[in-house]
Amino acid sequence: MRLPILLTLAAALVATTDLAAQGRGRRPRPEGAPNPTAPATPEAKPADDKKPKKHTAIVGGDVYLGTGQRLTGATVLIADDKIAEVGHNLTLPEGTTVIDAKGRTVSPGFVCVVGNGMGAGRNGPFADTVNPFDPEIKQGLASGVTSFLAGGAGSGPLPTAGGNAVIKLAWGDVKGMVLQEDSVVGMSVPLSPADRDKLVETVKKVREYLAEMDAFPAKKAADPNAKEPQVPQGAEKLVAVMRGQAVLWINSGGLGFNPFGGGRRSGPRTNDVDTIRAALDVAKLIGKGVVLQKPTSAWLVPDEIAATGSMVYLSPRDRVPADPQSPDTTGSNIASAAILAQHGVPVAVTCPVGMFGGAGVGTGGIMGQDLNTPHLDAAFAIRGGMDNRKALRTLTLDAAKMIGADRRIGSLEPGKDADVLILDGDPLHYATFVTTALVNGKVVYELAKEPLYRHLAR
Amino acid sequence: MTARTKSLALLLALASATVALAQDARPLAFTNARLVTVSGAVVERGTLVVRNGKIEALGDNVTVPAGARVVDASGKTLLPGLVSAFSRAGLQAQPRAEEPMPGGRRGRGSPMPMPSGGGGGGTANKAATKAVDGLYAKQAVFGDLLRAGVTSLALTPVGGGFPGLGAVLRPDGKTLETLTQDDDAFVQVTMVRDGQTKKLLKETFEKAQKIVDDRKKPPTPPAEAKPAEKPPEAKPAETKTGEPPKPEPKPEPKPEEKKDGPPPGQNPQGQPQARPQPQAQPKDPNLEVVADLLEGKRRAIVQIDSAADMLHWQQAVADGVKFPRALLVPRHDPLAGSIDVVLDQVKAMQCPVLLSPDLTTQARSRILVHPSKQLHDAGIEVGFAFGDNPQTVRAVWFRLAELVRHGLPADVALRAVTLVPAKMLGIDKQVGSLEVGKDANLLVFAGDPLAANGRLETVWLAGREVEKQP
Amino acid sequence: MNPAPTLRAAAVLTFAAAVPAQATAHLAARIVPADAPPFERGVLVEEKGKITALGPRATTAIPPGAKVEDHGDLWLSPGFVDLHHHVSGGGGDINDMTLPINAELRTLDVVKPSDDAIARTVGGGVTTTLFIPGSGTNISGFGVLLKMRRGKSLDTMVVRELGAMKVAQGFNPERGSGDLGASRMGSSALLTKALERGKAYAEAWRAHAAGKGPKPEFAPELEQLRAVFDGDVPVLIHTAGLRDCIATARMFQDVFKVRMVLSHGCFDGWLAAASLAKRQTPLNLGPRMYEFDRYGRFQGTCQAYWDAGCTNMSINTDAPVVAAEELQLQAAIAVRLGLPYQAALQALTIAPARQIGIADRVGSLAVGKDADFQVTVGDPLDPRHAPRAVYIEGNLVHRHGDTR
Repeated sequence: MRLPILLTLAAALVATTDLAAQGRGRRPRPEGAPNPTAPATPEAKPADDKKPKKHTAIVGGDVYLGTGQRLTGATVLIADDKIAEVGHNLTLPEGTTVIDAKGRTVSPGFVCVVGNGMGAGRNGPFADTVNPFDPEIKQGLASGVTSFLAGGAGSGPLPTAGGNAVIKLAWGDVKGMVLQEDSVVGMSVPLSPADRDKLVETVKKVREYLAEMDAFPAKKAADPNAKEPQVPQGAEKLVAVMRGQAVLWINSGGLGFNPFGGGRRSGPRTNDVDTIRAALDVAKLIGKGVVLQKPTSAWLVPDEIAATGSMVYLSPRDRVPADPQSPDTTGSNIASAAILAQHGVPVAVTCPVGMFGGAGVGTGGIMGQDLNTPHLDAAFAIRGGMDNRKALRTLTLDAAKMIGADRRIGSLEPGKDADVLILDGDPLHYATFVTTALVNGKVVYELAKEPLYRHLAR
Repeated sequence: MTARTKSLALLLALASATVALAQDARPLAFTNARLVTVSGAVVERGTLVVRNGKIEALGDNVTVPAGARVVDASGKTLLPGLVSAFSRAGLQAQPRAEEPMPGGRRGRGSPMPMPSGGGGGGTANKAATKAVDGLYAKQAVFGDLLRAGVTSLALTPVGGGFPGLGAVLRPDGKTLETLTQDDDAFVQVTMVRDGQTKKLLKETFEKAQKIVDDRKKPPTPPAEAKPAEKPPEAKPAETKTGEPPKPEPKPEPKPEEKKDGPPPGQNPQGQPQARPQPQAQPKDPNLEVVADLLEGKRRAIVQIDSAADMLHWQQAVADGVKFPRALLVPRHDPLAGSIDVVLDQVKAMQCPVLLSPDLTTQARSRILVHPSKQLHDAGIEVGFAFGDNPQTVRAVWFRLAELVRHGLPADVALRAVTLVPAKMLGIDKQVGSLEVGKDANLLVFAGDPLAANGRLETVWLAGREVEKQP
Repeated sequence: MNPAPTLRAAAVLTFAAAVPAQATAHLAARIVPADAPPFERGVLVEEKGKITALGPRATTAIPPGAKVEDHGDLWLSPGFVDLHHHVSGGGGDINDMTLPINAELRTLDVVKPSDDAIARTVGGGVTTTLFIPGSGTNISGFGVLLKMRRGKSLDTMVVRELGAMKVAQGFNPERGSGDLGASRMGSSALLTKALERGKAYAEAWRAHAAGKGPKPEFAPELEQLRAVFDGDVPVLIHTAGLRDCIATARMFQDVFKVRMVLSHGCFDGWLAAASLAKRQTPLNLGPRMYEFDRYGRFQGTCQAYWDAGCTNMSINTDAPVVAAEELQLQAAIAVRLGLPYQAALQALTIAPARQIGIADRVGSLAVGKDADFQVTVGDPLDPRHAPRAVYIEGNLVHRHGDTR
């Protein structure tokens, strides 16, 4: 009885490994508004010719750049901790360590806009509290995560520090674990009329301050005793945002789907289009795109969001039914990510809100709901109609933009951090595993060397 | 031993009927004993002679002196007494209730109760504070520890950063004076994984280095009497890192110094100013202690709890900061890396390491890891921190046996609870092994101490048998 | 025997009237019947809600006059069956906590045919669910087998009014209020007592029907239990770990010998796999798909049972613990963690249909069965693929984009 089933099984396996169908039926989406943040300009590295660089090359894999492009059978050349070159027929410097990736895929490490655990330490500062030997680091790497934002975004009527850091899963490397601290600041909407007036006033002061600062070098040259302009009181974080040194996250009140409430939620429905518009109003005031946190109804106003250069993170799996009071401007949509991306809004995905969901990699939860499987959250964006390749950006370049780290991470481009995954299949297929992960150019995870998933090697 | 402690000891001996430090003129001889010297070869069948509390002779062809009291030790094994280099016994007023076995969490920490972690006292530079100033004498725990075989123990200050000066205690003492063998044995340095501690460590070592540099400058003329010496008997020797620290160069406080007087490192009142400075700046006694440490006049015990903490320590404390030290890792922490994970960094510390005498597991699994063997195999001198809980101490032989069963050489295991911790505390000239001239602190076992049927029969402190009942 | 046969009869009648008389031929690039090998360029002919023909287009005749629905390069596969589902009643309202034994209760009474959850569920390709009471008491009542057709009438949804009796072992039903049942021992005693009464009651009625005994006194609290001991309705048992798995197999398979399905089997339950394999215990696994084992590994629950020889296996969501529409994801995770693909596909289709006793109607694509199927762009287990369309008994009940 069992034998025929197993034979059938073998046949079915052969049949279903042909997954060419997965990309079918999708039309290329036109690019919408231009990228809201400045194009990636890799940080200039001081020339250090004295110390010979250590080169590593990942050769022969199908390389997803993270930008939406893919190179077949290409090479990723790494010099020390940075990507030196990506392409075909590269000349490898003498002494290059070669990692064979033939028959495998290569992807930028996944970037999660919300995360916890994995050795992140705590604010105070993160750099002094990270735990580079937290076993969760290996678990995160096994799931493809190489960076995430730890800590909160802050809230209040003005941009506020929440105490957060972009943590990299640099196993065994204290310094390598913290990419930057406080690159995200937060605020809440809607604002009371008084708070909005205050914001308008503060923005005005900051503009004046920034203009004075621009003029200050010339002034100082003329008058050595010239006093440096002072940051307007309480506006430090607003200054950082308006200078492009921090990204402003706006709490759009997304409460998510309460699984035991039958989809109904109690409390004020603050994540409707009006709230999103209040957040976009802030973006217009400060002249910078903002990040909307889980805006349930954003898919109803994608053009308005794109016009301000704002970005969105969400879980494509959260379900919030339309409010019977205003069904046309509320409610979630499985197609949210796809619709927003189609209109040029960068989208990042997070874990779902649920009983066993969570933005960490626990060992006690239900597989498929947390950061043990971030690729499945991107898979659900595809389920909603997002282009297969663009969906990878929800875990790479677009996610990196939202945490203000896209100059360093999120794509395989020369000059960026060498955070690279080698996988045994399509990065977003459910049965794909990371076989090797590199962070800062170092191999920090190998499937065959860790007990986590080694026994499942196929 | 100072004259003060001697006379006090005599007084006590007269007053007390229990174990006294008064030395018995009549020699004592253990015959037909298996002598595990720890420092040298095992004497399978030999004699050990004690006179005036010290080991006078030992070996297989030693003659029993005339008139000696003879203890036939056939079938017995003699070991030096245990040295506990990580202990807080006596820092609490009430005897602690026996702690429950924290065995609930899988793959984490030590299954045995240990003194609590370093963070308890907050992070500060209190390097000149003496732990003995917080000591409660007359506690039952000392007698219990002694009967369990501990003949020397540390008093480890509580807190992060530089919580103070650790002491060496003699567990039979009944008063602070007799209990305290050395109130100024080591500088405790405790790494805590937070920004405050890292900053404190970095800045303190930098400031102390400046003091060291200032001290090297020639004294401003006119020079006063004994200009460069501070205190007079301290002769700073160039201590090479990696060498076990020598106890001699340590500046000793004057015996007549008041207990709450200025700590060592600052000139005692009435002494001539050692290095008169043009602008008399009040010295920070805590920084002076750290400066002494950097000059090699003191030794430190550096507590680092995990591999992660070791990397943070390296960030905070520059490679160039060298001082006589031992490393203390009180428990294995697989969730932040047991210390063997950073073997290279531990080696670079160039010092002995005091570890929990346990196997541990890989994080979140039951796959066994043997940190002490890893360190030993890498050429690092290993000692064991077995704490201050008498129950735990009684179990230490079984714990050592498990480590030996898993590949740690038996002689290394026994040295790790005797001579190595003695070195860390700077008392290895007096105790820690069976050698001529050392204190006759002896453990008499029926059978092999590491065998299941080995049993500690009697404990001898300075040649006197410790009474079995309190 | 069935306490309310009229409702089902009504359902069939209502339904028959709604079915279009015309046959429809669904063409697809590939058809995955689930209990037979998949084939390319296939056709499925549906008439009056049933599959009347199935096979490659080259060899399968399309009846003249049939409406042709060409799904192009999409795939056809059976609608999924979820045997552990709690959300077709609008959420909540499924635990009656006063008494530990509630064999007279049934979820049929709380189904909310208009609920969004039903539309969302079918949007995940799930066409049949066993909507059961919670695990708050030892016997929490009887679940109803439903087709996920959101509509105005319950009649169009019910497959079987008494789908299964829900029993809960261990932990959740433990009663801290001081009465019996505060421990697993108490739970076992309560259950055994209830089952023995039910068994005796059913035997008395059978004897009476055979003319061998007096007419038993009508006992409303035992009336539904009769269906279990007459073999009409299986028992679905919530288990929490190893002890409950073993206790369940002993109680329901060895002692009372009734049709049963062991549900969850999570935590360290897989350690009982060898023992359960001997009995070929029907397993309904989930929502937790792994245990982090003592060697630091992610041990897939399904793989552990499967490798031990437990091949009678279905997978559940325990919705709302995992969203009802993510049943597919549960199977994908099982495959990720080592369950063979075909076993995972069957665990959502034919296996649960057989376990609950409706394999003659659903669970695979075969001639004579209900035309419950989904249309996908590829592998039906891949979460990237939402069904483009879902049909129940030949009726289009969901199109991609229908649910937000």
